[in-house]
Amino acid sequence: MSQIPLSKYHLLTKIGQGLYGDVYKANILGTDQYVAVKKIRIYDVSVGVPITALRETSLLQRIQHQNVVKILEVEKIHGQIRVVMEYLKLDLQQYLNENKDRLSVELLKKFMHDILSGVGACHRLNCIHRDIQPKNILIQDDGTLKIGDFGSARVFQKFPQFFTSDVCDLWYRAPELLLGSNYYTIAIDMWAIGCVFAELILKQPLFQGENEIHQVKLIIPNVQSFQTVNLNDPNLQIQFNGIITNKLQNLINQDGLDLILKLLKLDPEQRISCSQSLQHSFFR
Amino acid sequence: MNRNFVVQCTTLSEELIQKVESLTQWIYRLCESNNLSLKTTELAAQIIQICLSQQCCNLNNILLIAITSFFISVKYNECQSFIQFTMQDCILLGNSTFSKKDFLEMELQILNLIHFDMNLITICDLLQEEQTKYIDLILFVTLDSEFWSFSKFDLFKAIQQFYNNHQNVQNETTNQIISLIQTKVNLLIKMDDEQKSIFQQKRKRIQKQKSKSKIYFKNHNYKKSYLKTKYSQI
Repeated sequence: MSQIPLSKYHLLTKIGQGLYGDVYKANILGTDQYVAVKKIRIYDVSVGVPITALRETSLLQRIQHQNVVKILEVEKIHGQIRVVMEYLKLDLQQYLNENKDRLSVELLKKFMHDILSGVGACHRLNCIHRDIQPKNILIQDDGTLKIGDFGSARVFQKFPQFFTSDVCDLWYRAPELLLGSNYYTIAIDMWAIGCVFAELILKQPLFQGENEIHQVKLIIPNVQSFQTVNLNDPNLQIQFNGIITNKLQNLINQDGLDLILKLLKLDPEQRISCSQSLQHSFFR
Repeated sequence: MNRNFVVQCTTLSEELIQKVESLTQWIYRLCESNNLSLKTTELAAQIIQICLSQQCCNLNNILLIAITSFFISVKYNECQSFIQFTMQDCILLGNSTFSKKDFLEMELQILNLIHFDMNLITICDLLQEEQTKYIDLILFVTLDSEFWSFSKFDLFKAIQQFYNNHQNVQNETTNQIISLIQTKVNLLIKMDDEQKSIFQQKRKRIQKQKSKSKIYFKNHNYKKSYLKTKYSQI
């Protein structure tokens, strides 16, 4: 008689809905250790296994870094595929919602260091995350931040490649994506990190556009026509509204403000990289 | 897991390997005609080779394995807004021999085999922006089964050395690959020369025939004109 394999994990509660299936909190049988189990669901038979699942499992097995969420295994049980990952109960968005107090400069430095180190590890392995936002940055019990949700991530090669421009959450989407570029680089992640950095300071998202056009107008208010926008134009600068400028100036030192502005350069080629950011005077 | 085509596959028949070679070439032509990247061909070729060397899939269905490997590679490596390659396309490629269910099952079987890790190292990854320079050699080692047992890194090194005419390579494996490439290239040149000489012989023959026909034509014309004048005189 053939034995039916048993899962090593006992599913406890559903904790969310991922890009390719439900996510459960589970514990490893016989221990009190928790894991997150993502069930891969084939929503569309004509597409087969969702691309998001394939990319996440492939990339997370490759990127082993303390600031990137760990994949433990891909389990096939009862004809079902489950991606088992480390369990982190809190994400940065929940953290910001729950903690109304202003973050100290030391904590800001720690958070930004973790985010830049995690995303930098992806970039070094030629991987663009393409969905950096507070919801996808998880917090470990000891306060370490980890980059998660690699469903939109992909490997790139070091020459211009055609990619879909429909990536990244609207509020964290780089201007080149908003203008419909299909030949973008890791600089789109740097823009999103810049938005997250400002959000950590302001305790609210920096650009809260209602749609793509509104989002561009929030970033470059003086733009007349989208067809004529040239992001490489050195005279074109990001323009925060007066309230945000005042808030930022009051809440962060000059080094911090300088780092934000370098992360939010409109020209993707001028945008600072993760390794350059980590060398910035803000962290000294 | 050993992902090279190391010979756990000694038991594989020559015929099966030849079949896989032609299927790999077919996949390359599909990629080329759809403007897909060379990496997609390399990925698909590697997945088929893994299936072969691990002998985990039913090798009688090698066409099903090949199409599914291509399907997974396109899905993983290509931009979805550039190409939409669905199960329906798989069915068409397989001339409706296999159903959606067959492809779905094979996809899961293959993904399990590679532990849901599509990060297979390709020569294109190693060469990055230089890959266009070496495209012929990449294809050469991807499509020919005699190179499948070498690691991608060794192939990458050998391709660079071969292209740049480097003598005295220290690494034994690299040397082995270079001499194999050289042998194959010599063979191709020889075949090419033979074809050229056959072609030249044919051309000579045609030229001879042409000149014969010219002489005939001349004579014929001459005769014609001669006859014409003769008759006109009459």
